[in-house]
Amino acid sequence: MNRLNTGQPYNKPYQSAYASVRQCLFSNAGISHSSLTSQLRHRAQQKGGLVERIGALQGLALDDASKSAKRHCPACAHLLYHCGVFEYPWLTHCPIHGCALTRTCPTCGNPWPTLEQLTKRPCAHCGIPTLATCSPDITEPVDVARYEPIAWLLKLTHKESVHDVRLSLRELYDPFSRSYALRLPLTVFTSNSAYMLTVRAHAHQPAISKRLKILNIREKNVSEHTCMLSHVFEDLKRAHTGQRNARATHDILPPNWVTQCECQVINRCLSWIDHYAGPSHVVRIRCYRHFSFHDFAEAGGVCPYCLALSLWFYAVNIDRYGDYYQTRAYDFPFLEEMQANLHYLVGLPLIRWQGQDYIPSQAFDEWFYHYSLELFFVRCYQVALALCHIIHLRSLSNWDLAGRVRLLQESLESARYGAYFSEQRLHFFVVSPHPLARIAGGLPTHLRACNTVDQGITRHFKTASPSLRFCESIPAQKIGIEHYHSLCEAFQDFIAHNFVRYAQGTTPFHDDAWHRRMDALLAEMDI
Amino acid sequence: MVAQTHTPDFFDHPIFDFQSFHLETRAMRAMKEQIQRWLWTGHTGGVILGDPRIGKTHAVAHLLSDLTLRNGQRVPAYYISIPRRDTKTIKAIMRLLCLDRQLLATGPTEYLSSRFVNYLFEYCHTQHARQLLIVVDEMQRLAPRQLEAFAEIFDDLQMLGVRATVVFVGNQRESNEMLNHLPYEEYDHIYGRFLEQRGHYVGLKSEEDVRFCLGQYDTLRYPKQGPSYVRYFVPPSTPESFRFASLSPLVWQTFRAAQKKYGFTSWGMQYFVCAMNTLLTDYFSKEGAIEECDASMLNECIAVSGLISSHVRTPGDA
Repeated sequence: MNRLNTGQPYNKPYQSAYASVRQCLFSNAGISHSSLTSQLRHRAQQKGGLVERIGALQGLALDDASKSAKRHCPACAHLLYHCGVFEYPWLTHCPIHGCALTRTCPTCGNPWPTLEQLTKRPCAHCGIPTLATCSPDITEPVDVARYEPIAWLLKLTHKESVHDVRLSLRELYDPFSRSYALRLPLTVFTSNSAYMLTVRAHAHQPAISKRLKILNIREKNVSEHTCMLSHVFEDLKRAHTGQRNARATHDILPPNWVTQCECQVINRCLSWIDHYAGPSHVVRIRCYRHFSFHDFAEAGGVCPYCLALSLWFYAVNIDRYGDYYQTRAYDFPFLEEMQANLHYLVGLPLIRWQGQDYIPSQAFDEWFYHYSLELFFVRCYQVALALCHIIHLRSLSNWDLAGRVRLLQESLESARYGAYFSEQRLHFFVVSPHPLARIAGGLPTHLRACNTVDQGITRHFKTASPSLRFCESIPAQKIGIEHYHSLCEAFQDFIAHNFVRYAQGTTPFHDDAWHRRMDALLAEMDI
Repeated sequence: MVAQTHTPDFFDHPIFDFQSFHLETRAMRAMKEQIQRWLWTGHTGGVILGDPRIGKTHAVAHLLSDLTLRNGQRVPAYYISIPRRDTKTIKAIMRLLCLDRQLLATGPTEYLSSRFVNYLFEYCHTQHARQLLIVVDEMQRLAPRQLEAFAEIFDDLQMLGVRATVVFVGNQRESNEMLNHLPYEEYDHIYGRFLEQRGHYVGLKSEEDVRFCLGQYDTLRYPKQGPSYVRYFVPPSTPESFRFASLSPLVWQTFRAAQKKYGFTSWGMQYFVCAMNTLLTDYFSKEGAIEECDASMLNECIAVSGLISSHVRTPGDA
């Protein structure tokens, strides 16, 4: 087995796995990527892939994630250097040389090569140069001070910060349910996101903002919400333990602020739909359980706005009646056919900081609930729009990819958060206070809203089983709280009639009105 | 024989380890000083020539580990001995260098050169050095154009920030033949870099040289705290005042007589060490042999060393 040169003399501070591999290939001129991989198996006995073995050879702890170079500094490429921070979209200029990061090699015009393409690339700038074609500065003594900005950025983007807090979820009706605490409507801003930098800048010192400016990094505006936190003591948690499904008792009804919040969100949704669908559009909230692709196709399509709001309304309301009645994938065959997840992750925040649990103030709870509901509508709209495209185009592959990516990106960004704890206050950041405001809801020309497709759906409903016939029209752009209550009651009636067989004799709603209706129904059905 | 009268431990003595037994000579010291001077003054290289079998290779091998920079830092050194080959190309040299370091030796010359230079660069890097000594032994086996290979290595190392000093060591007669026929115009750059500085390595050329070497038998000890090399072998009854170095006039006279007869230019270290080791281990280990030491005994030892037969048979590189 041949000896391998390690490429170690070309190592520079904070370099990526990509740089290490390139340096090793340079040191062993003419060796192919596969040959290097195979020889490394004998030279470096460590388990793992190419990156781990190169790391062992050069005595570096390399991150496997840093083995691609989609963006690169042309000056660093000359010096066989690359750093993981170059991959962050918010970094536009090289912190060492100050030149713009590019996606293509300025010499040959091709995208920066992958590890596998390195040895096949004839260009000395982006491939593997020879000693005759490499930069004379390749071995320039390392001036650690020049790499300090990279160290700073790496520290800033490090996953964990002492100030960081983590969010989990309390169920509205079962605050300390263990299973619920694992579910999250929002995920933390990643290092890829410029919003994360803004949060860190807020959390640490103003000096960070100044430094970001020097490095040509633009912070993005975020919406900040602050509140006091109360420590959750273990006895409070214990008091709630075993009270799962407590919402099913008639004396624990949703607080007024909850229904008011829901009403506000439905009004925002209606106004948003009105903006994009036009004034003639009438929103119809239906129950689409048991609908499959075939049903929608037979009906000639579906209005994405109505479908989105129907899904939203169903999930919000069914949540009141216990786990058993929660939306499940098999109850919506079309969701299963689309392989779409529509988890209802709406609840109240539970803040975890340094191993302790805290709950925020009532005002923050209300804001958060409002935000989660709106975010859930965005998700419903995404699913509804995808369904419409599939029905109309019969295939997802024909879908306008750019539009789909944009929508996905907007909704993903809205579902991110950053938070830190300072001076007994929670500082919570999201991209926008209203996720819906970021979503462009205009339909592509080949999709039609209610006025044309609703006739088919209406026909379908008329012929369908009575158990599916839940349909409430909302002609106005705005509804009052009474109207919303009546909608909820209508839904409760519908559920009471249609879930009786599912319930198998158990009582889904613990209120007197429902008991009366159930008794009458059971007598009628002679059960 | 000695082997029958002593315990196996007896043969652990360095004198019996022909490969690593080492005596310093004045010529060796001079060569070390010369190379050291080239290193310290930043010379790009030079040539050291000498008669065959006088211990050039042995001398170079020993001094490599002793060379330092002005600041006392050891100079990393790379030694290669050129074998006799049919192919006299630059690629053949590059391939030889790669094979010597177990590097992948396939592909174009450019790749071979790059791999080897990178090997040297990494070697210097691990030694935290920016200067490197490359010793090319048996230079007489190189074709003139193969010297280009070392010029290329020198240039590439220079580009990587490593200053190389390339020292060629060879047999005087054959190397001179090659060097004298080197077309100056074509190899100007090689001359300037590596061939202008010249040094000569010689064997023992005076009684002083012989005394210097024999004196080491009196001073070197085995084991470290044990007796001197001489005391180790001579019978215990030998007077304390006896010094091996005191035989130098007799040894030198005996050699001179043989020199006049056969026409040696100098006494090669290989033959000298063999003759003196034979004298010490096989003759002086017997009672009364020291008193009986004369020219005939020494002639016998010189004959055993192979000096006379080698000179009579084939002068030059064997």
